[in-house]
Amino acid sequence: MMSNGERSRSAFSIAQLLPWLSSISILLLWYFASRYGLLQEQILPGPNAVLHAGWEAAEDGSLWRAIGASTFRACIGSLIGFLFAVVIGVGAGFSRIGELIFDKPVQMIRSIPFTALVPLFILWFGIGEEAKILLVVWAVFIPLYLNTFSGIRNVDRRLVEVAKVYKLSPLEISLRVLLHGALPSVLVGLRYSLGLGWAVLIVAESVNAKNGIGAMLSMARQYAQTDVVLLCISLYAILGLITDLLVRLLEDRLLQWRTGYIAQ
Amino acid sequence: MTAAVEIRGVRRSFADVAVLKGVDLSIRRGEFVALLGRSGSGKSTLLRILARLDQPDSGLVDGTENTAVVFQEARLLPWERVASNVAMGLTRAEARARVRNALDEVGLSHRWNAWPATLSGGEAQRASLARALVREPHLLLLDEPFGALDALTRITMHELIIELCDRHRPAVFMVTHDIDEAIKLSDRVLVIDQGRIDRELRIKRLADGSVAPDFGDKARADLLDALGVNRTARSRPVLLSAS
Repeated sequence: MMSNGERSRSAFSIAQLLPWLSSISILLLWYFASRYGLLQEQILPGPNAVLHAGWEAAEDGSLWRAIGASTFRACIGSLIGFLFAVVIGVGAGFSRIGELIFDKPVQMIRSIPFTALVPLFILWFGIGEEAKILLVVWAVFIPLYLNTFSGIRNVDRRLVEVAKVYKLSPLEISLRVLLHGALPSVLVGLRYSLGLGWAVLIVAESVNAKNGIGAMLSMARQYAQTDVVLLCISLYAILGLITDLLVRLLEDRLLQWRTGYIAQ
Repeated sequence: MTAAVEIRGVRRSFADVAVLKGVDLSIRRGEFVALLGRSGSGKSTLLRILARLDQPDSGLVDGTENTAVVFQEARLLPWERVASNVAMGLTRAEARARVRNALDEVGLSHRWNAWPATLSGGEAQRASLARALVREPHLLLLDEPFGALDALTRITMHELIIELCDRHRPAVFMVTHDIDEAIKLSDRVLVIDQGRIDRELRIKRLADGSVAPDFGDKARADLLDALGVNRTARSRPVLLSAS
C-alpha cells in the first residue's frame, strides 16, 4: 500500500514538473544562444535584455502607466460585454421571441472580423477611450453570447418542467435553472472571449493610442527597439495568463457540483 | 367526498394522432390510483395534463393546483445541494424547518448538504420525494417513480411511499407498467388503452393492508387481460402459429 502511494505521488510530481522543465529549457536555450552571439541583437535580443527593458520602464513609471491604461480598458470593456452577452443570451435562450429578435442579427454580425471595425470605430469615436472600449465589448460579447445561448439550449428541458411544476417564476427559471445549467458553457465562452478581448485591445491600441501596452508596442516598433517589443509581447502573455487563472478560479468555485461528480 | 382532482371528457391529440379520446377521472384525497397501460397508450399525457404541464384540446380539468410530481428520473438540479433542491418553490421562511422534516421522513437528513451527483439512484429518488412532500401537496403524481431503481431499493421505496401516503393523505395518481406494483400500492387500478380508460379494478385489502393471495391472482389475471397480454399465447411460439 505504502509503496504504491509513494509511486503514484512521485509520478504525479514528475507530470507536474515536465511542462515547466520544457519552458525553462527553451528560456535557457534562448539565453545562451544570444549570449554566445548566435542571435543578432537587433533581431532577437536575449531574455536578459528584455528584463532590462522591463526594469527601465518600471523605473521611469511608463510600464505601470501602460499596464494600468490597458487593464482599465480591458476590464470596463469586458464587464460591459459580459453583461450584454449574458442578459441577451439568457433572453434569446429562454424565449422564442427573444431568439427571433436577437439571435439572427448576432449570428450575422459574428462573421465580421473585428479588425475590420477598427477604422470604423475610429471614424465614429475618434481616438478617445470609447473606440477601444467598444472594440473590447464587441470582442467579448460575440463569443460569450454564442456560448451562453447554446449552453442554455443544452440545459435539460426536464429540469425546466420540474421548475414549472413547483411554480418558479420565469425570472427564477432563467436564473436558477437555465443560466446555472449553462454555466460550464458560459465559462468556456468567458475564457475565450477575454483572450479575444486582449487581442482586440492590442490592435486598437497600436493603431491609435497615446498610452497603453499597444501604444508602447507600436512606438517601440517605430524606433526599432526589439527588446521593448518583446517586453510588450511578454506583458500580454502575462496578462493573458492572469486572466485565464482568474476564470479558472471562478470555474473551481462555480462548478463545484461538477467536481463532486468527477470525484465519484 | 369531494374530489381533489377531477377531469371530464379530456381529449388530446398530437399532430392529428388522438392520444386521449375522452377520459374521465376523479381522485379523492387519501386515495391512491394507479394507471396501467402499454407504451403509447396515453398514460404519460394524462399525467402531464394533471400536472398542468400540458393542456387538453377539450374537456374539463378541475381541482387542486397544489400538485407535486415525482418523475422516473429524480430531476434534481445538479448545481444545487440536496436541501436547496428540496426547498424549490418555497419561501425562505417556510423552507428551513420543513425541509429538515421532509428529509427526515424520507431518511435522507444526513445527505442534506450533498451534491445530487454524489447520490445513489435510491437516494436521489428519496430527495425527489422529499421535494414533492415538503409542500404538503393535495395531489401527488408519480410517473413510473421506481422504474429506474434496482429490485431491492424498489421494495424499500414501496414501503416508504405507503407510509408517507398514509401520513399525508394526498390524492395519489401513479403511472406504472408494473402490475404487481399497482396492486401492492393502490386502492384502485385503471387500465388505459387507445386513449380511453378501459377497465377499473378496486383492490380489496385485508385488515393488515395486504392483498389476499387469491384476490391478487385474480386481479393480476384481469389486468393482464385488459392490457391485451394473452397468457396462453405468451407460452406458445407466436410466430409459428401465425404461419
